[in-house]
Amino acid sequence: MKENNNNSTNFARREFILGISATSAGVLIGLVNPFSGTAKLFAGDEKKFLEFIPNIWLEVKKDNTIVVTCSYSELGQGARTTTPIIIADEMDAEWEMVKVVQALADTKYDSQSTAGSTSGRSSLNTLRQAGATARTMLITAAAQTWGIAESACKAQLGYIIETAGSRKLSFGELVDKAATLPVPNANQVKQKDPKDFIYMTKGKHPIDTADIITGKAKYGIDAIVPGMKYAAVAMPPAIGASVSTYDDTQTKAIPGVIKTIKFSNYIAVIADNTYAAFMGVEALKVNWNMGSNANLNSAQITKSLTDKIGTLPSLPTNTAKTIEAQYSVPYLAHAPMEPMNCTVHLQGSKCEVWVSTQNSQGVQSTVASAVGLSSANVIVHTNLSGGAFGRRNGTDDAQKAAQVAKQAGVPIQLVYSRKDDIRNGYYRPASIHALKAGLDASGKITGWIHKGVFAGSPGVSSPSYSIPNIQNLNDSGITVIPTGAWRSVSASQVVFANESFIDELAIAAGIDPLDFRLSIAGTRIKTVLNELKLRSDWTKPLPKGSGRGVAVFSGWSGYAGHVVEVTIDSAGKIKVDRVIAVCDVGFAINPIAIESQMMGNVIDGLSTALIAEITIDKGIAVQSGYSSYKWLRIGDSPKMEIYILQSGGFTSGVGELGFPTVSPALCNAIYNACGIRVRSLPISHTPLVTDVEDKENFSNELSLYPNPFTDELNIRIGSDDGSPTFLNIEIHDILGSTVFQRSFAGNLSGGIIHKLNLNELASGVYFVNLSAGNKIFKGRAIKK
Amino acid sequence: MNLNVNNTNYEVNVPSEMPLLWVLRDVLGLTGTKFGCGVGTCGSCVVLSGNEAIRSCSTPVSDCADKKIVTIEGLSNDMTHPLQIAWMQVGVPQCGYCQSGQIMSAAALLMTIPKPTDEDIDREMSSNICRCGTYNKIREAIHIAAIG
Repeated sequence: MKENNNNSTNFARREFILGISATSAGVLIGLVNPFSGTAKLFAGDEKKFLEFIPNIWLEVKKDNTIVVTCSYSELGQGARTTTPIIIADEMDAEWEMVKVVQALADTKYDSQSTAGSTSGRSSLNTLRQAGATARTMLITAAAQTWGIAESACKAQLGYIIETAGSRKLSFGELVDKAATLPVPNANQVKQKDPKDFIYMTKGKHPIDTADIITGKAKYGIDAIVPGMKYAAVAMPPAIGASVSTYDDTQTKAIPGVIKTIKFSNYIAVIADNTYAAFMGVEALKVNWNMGSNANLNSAQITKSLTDKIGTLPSLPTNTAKTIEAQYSVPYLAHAPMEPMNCTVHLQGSKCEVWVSTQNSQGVQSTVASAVGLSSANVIVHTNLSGGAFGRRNGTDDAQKAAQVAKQAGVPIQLVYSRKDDIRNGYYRPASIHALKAGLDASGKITGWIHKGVFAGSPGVSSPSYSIPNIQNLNDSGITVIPTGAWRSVSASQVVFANESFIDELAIAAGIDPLDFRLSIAGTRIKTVLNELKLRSDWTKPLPKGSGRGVAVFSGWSGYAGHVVEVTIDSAGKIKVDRVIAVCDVGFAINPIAIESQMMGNVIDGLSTALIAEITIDKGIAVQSGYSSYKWLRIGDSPKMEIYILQSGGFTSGVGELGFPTVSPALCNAIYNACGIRVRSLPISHTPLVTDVEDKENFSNELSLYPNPFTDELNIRIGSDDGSPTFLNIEIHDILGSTVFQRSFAGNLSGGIIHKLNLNELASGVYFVNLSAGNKIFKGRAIKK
Repeated sequence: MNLNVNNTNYEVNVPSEMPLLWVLRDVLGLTGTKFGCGVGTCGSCVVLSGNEAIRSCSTPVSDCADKKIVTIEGLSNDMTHPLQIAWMQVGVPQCGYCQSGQIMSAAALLMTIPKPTDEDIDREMSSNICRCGTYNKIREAIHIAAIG
């Protein structure tokens, strides 16, 4: 199904072919633009062609394989599957004929930037044209072979067949002939009627699945170059800090460590293996110039945002009721499973790079500049990416690897630790959103004002409805913490505010939130809303403690929405019971990949709404790994139903489309379930109970103090039972996951105090269970 | 020291405290086992030690001296392990980076609980993060493998 994705193999093969052609008096016709290319000719003894190459996207070989080139990066979104699907469909090829190879970074492919949910929709027409051109030429080749009209032939599952007869020739058998034909002009090539597509309609599982589940798939971090050494880096302990002096005596004593190299804002440790490099970094003694951000913290950043909210403008005079609310969201890290890394092999006037990136051409220019070569002499192999989410637009890993490789004089694989990844990358900016809207006497919206203040680039946009008198106001607060694109970019913050606020307006108007949206929605959003209403049984009542919320949105040329169902138990623990996702993507290229993207968006949306946040202290992120920067686990993953609508006429992006409406739908569901409106993410900070005493759920005998606590929590038991026993303390988060557990011998008398150091826990609401024999004491504490 | 990985004996000359992960990846070139966090919180590096799922990033290689280690590369010779068949059938992966750890954790689960419930899966697989959100497909595939 697919060729080894080790690009170096492919590169070597190409050089081999070029090498033969140069020495065998053959004619080599260069491939200049995507559609002017033709076959590589081999005028050797047999005067035969090895392959038919109608354009840069595909080659048909005599053994009947079709080698398709994927120019975009594979991040898990399915580019390496979708690309051959489009070409195979247009060519009428058998799917099993298709193999995919990864393109090197090369401007001949135009932009290879795999960001902004573009890879599918922006390549669709080009790839269709590439496949249709190949099919047209194969038909011409068969028609000429048989001496009949092209109109009497058609393509079918890897063959050209005589429509009214029984003759057929495989694509492979037509390579010799097709390779001699001129590439037809675009207007001579007819793309298929979309109703005749067979692969795009049903989609295909990820083409690399077999390699992934056998350990053969090659990610950036899996690159192995002969003679390669491993590098890790000591990163600045505050954003903007630089290296003053350092002592590497203990580092050099670690077996496997080779040397250290100082750069202006990091120190590289080079070793025989990654472990020694990491240990070497830990053993460094560095004096840092801490820079101007060393005392910066989240409270100061938040204040810089709220200070700029100011007074919002007035609403139109027909406003009968004014509604105002303020929302806030935190910084988010991308934390892809594969930590940032890059492998660089500098070989004099040439440099070879292996990397997982969304931005292969950016890596090419970054490395070129770091090692002092022109981009043309930097060969970038784009390996699979172990997740990206916007983080791999950045080329900081490649820059460091190139700088280190140049100094070290050996091939270098540089790997960030998880801590480096979370503390020294860039973030979705924190932001605060002040909204104000009016309703007239009949409950219609009179005007809408949204001021967003961002700790980064501002990006307030309008809700996806027809609303009069919209004013979007943008500002930025402190922006020294690096920020950048994060799945769905500013929609991730703005849609949370917009779609929560619409819900508040609906409730103020006394109208069902879904019906309220329907009353102001355009045609396509209405279709999404109606589908959500139907699929979620919206009008069917839920049990006490459960609730539903809805949110919809338009972006990346598509339309999407969610209904989330939650249950809040009487103690304030939350369970997401069911998520219904609906998207209208216009025309779906690979519904299987779309479903996966929508499922991933649900998990990302719920994780960031419920528990994930980056906070800043002393100029750097407080969080350093997956135990402090938390993500949903399998047990938290709710039932999901994904409905893909295809209203036709356009193709939308899907990687980000399904993210923005998850968090507002969830908060709207929480409101519906328990009457508490959560306006600040993550939700884990907000106790989801109205009864703070709650004698039913929390024990009188158990005191937790201070509450809220910072790092240490004291537990006191007011019982007079002095018999020896085993005490077990468990602390659960709002999802019910155990985040702390300790058992010890003791008794329950005398108001024993246990001091727990909980500095590892993220901020939020926690539930403490202390059990001794069959006695259970329960309490709730909030970590600041 | 001697290390048995995927039924092959290797003589490795590394510090005894070096985590198994880096011996597999950087010394033996078995890159199917992934580095995710280095501190045992994400599950990307899970391999089998006998019937037990272990986090190779936090297991000193010296602990593995008399064990039979199985990595994703050794789960089967020909992609015929029930979990691999089920993963193909469901098309579980997105980026795929966490999947070798997911599959090895699931392999250990099926050795102790051949027919796991959703609750068993959620409990035993709770230490494996998938940033792409393939959890529901992982659950589906484990059930298929358990039946098959």
